[in-house]
Amino acid sequence: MSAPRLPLRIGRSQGRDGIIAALFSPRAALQRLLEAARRTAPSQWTLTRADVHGFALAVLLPILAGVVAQVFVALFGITQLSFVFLTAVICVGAFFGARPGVLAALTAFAIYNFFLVEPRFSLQLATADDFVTLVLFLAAALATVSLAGRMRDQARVSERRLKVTEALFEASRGLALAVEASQVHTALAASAAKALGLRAVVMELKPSGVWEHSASVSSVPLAADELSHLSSLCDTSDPSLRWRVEFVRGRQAVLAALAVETVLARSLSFEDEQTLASLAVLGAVALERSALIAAMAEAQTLAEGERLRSAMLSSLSHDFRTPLSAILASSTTLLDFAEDLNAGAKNELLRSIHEETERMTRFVSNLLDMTKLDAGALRPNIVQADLGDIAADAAAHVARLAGERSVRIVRLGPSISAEVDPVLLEQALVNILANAVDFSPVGGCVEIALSKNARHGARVEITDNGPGIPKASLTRVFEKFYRVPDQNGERRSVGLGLSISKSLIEAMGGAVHAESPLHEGTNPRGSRFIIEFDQKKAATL
Amino acid sequence: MSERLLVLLIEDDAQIPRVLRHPLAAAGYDVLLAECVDAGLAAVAEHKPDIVLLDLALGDRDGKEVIAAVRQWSDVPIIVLSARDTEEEKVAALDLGADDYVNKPFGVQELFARMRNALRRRSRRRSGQSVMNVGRLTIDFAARRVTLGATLIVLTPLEYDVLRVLAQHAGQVVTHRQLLEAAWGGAATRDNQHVRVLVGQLRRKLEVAEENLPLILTEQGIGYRMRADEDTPAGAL
Repeated sequence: MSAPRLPLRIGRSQGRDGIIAALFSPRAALQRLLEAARRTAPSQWTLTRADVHGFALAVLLPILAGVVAQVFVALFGITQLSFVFLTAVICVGAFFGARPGVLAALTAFAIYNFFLVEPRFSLQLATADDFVTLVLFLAAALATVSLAGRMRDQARVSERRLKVTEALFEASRGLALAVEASQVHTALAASAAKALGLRAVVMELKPSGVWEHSASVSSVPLAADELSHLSSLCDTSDPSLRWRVEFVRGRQAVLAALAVETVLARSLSFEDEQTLASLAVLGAVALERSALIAAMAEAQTLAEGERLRSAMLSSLSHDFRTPLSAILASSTTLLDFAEDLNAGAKNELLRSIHEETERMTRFVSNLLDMTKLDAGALRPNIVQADLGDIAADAAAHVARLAGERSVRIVRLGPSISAEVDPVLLEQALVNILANAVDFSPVGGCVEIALSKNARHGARVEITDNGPGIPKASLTRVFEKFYRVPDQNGERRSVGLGLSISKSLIEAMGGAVHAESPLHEGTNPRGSRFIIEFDQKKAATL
Repeated sequence: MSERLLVLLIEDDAQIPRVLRHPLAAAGYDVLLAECVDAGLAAVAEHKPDIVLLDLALGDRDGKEVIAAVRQWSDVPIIVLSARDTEEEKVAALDLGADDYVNKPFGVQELFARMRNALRRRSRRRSGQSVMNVGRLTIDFAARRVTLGATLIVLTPLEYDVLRVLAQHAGQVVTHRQLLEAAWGGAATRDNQHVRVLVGQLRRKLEVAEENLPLILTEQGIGYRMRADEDTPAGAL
């Protein structure tokens, strides 16, 4: 806390006339000093170290000037030495302001008269010339001090303004970092306390219509009765001797109230009032922005929920209808045209029913798993298991579906064991393999390779020679219901399998990512899904 | 049927053609398959199929492009096979000139009934028949006369226009917009309410003594379908 400086108050509030009045009218100056003292808490009104130095030098420097003058007189016999004293007076005035300057001028006047003007060592004057010289000296000293003091006071005003600007700048930075309303309140209270050097409290209006304490900066905690007093002050907007309440007004409503404790000062200086008002405006902007951010976040959450719901519905309608069409068309054909069909046709229709039923079963179990994963109800049963066996089972399962399009599934690499849930891992692999098969060309080949990764963990790679995945979609393919735009497998993917696989693998402590394309060029092709389990979870047999 | 009709199936899901070719062959159709918009258009131009079965989701392109392009030079019946069941999709496809649509999943009998309907309409239009019977209702297009049994039904000009369009497309859906254009012309109001009122009046005049089967069926959100004389498709919406 820095105490308001008295010279500033005089210089600032009264302007040039005030300074001159202070210089030439001691009574008025004293009155102003007392008034200023009253405005400030007694504990805060102490002479600053600089003031003490100023007054001390106001006495010492003219004395030093007198000694120097004596030396000049003794050595060179020069008696017109007023410039030595003027220099001392200007120094005091320029560095310590008007009051020490005036004191220095008077001291210099007395010493000059006493030591250098005949009769020396007396305050009496011998001639009218001496009298005129002395009076001119005093006038020059006072005028110089007045100028020097005024410049210094102006410098102080500028300094003070700079401090206000800096305080506001710092406040705006603090407020810009605040995202939530409570953070804005805290930043606002801190800024006000720092800028004004006073206890600061931010009150907020609750939906119930009651003003409540939200943030404060104070060396002593605020007592309950102080808070209820503040609350009623905000409510009634009554003026208070102790608290200056500034409302933080948004474009439509009062958003908060910023209160600073003025105690005995009764009112704030003009600059402090301005600072307070500026802080309230900054606070209002920050609070409105925070409300907007909150509204945006809420809208985004709603939109995301809505997107998932509509994706789910469209997936249900599309991904159920397509296999159901094949099943219904096949079964009604078998029922209605049995006599017209040869054995091969009947077999093909039955196989179609079987394959599409499998596809739907996979879809339904994925939907159920997704629901369970979302609800956190799926608990992996982790055991040490042979990944080779699991991969073989998954490959065999998918091969049944892939048979028609003669996509081969090849297993490579040594057998590796890891701590996984075999059932969930097989399901995860089936989803990724089925996706790879769906996007493979007829007669293509899907590879599943096991190896140790760089950290001695287990690594499973599933590689296909399909159209690949655009860079922008490499992470998005794991999102629910995401489909790579402008791309279709011959049998379109459901948009759920990869998302579920990722969740399952992560539930077992593993990680999965995709790489694509594997072959660059005009016709980029191929994608690879890499599943890894940490070293501590895996060991080579 | 004496001659085998050619069906063009435009569909990119491999399962549907694989299944449909058996019943279509058994029912006396030859089947031609196209997997995308361009191949479909080329096949229509080259092979002049008797009827087109069209899936609307063709890879990254929209099957509706096929309808718009084909209708510029051909009136071949087009039946949409759709897994999308939004009303806007159906209305858009019908407005573009599709004859009918079948929602996936469908039974083959329903599909065949719709195909027969579309083919009959084409042959009726080609034969230039001027009198049409639906149940006890008789419409003489040449004389603008409508009779229910022996009773002459008096219709306003607007009512007659709506009835005429529905009858000419008997068994098929006619969208609100198509009815508005038929009755009021292109520049007229676009308020479906007018159509609803007219159809209500028609129903009061024509269905009073009619048997339990309604004459004009409502296709919710899309338009109306007049019952065809010969059959009522199983599973019709």
